Amino acid sequence: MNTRDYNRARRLLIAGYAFIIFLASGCAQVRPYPNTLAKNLHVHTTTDSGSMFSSVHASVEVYEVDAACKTHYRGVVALDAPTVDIGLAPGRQSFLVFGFASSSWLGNSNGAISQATLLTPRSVDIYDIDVSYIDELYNVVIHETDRNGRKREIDTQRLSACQAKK
Amino acid sequence: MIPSYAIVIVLAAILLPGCAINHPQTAEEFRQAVPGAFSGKVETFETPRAVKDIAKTFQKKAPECLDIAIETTSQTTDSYSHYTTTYKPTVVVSASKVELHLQRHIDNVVNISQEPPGGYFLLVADAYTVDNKTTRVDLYRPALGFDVLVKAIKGWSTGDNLGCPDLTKI
Repeated sequence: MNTRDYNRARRLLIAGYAFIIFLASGCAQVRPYPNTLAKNLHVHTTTDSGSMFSSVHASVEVYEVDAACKTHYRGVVALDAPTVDIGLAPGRQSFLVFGFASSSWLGNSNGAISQATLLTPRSVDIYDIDVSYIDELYNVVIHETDRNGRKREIDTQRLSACQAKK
Repeated sequence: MIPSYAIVIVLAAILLPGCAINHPQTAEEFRQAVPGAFSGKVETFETPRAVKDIAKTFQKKAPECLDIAIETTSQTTDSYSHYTTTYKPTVVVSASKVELHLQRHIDNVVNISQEPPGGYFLLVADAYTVDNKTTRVDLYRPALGFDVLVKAIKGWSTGDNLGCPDLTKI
């Protein structure tokens, strides 16, 4: 194969990859969360990548959890404002995946990390969730406020903590 | 003509048995090895916090933040690599001391020494009671390249910052 053929083959290969990525992105499971229910979650977000050459974007994926503890994707909410209000079905288990996507312009590198939790909102309670990514440290802290105004911190829970109902 | 990769393989076969590397197989062996290791460092600090509170923080944050697998993909015009790094934290609590061990295993890597179950030791943090309100923390840590991990464990020890380290930055 001469240099011209090699370059042509390489261009075709790159075009092939691009086409596959294009198709895959069309099929990918990324859709906005409808967010039509009464807003019982207030997500307060702070992000700072720590460098002017990089950025970080936070989002939360919402999954419904059925009686068998299987998750069903409901959509994603971009946490692109200091406070974003979300409505989750009260009394039903949800699985929330808080994601932090970082990208650097200098090194052309990208990274994504997440912290997830099960949450079953009680019907009259309000949930304040502090989400932060500052200087490569991230955190998700959940506070529950009951009808009497009593506030308590609740721990994040893994999906494995879900107990299937018979 | 002998291909260059063949020369590398032969040289490696000759040299490696002569410089066998023994990595620590336990947290105690790791503590003993770090002070004399070029890539290791021992850092000590005190914090005005009871050891039982630090134990609670380590027990909450270690599984939440460090029991994690990171997938890395690296691609250039001429190469592609994909591997998974799995971290395994262990917290050991006694009356006057709490230990946090962190091990790391990387898939698709040829190891030149025996890897302990759970992965090579990456960091050990020992927190001891000095008095009722003061705890001394000894960090047996890598000298370079793991700043965000060290920052997180210091934050958990002092209680000043309970954030998880973004291990994709390591």
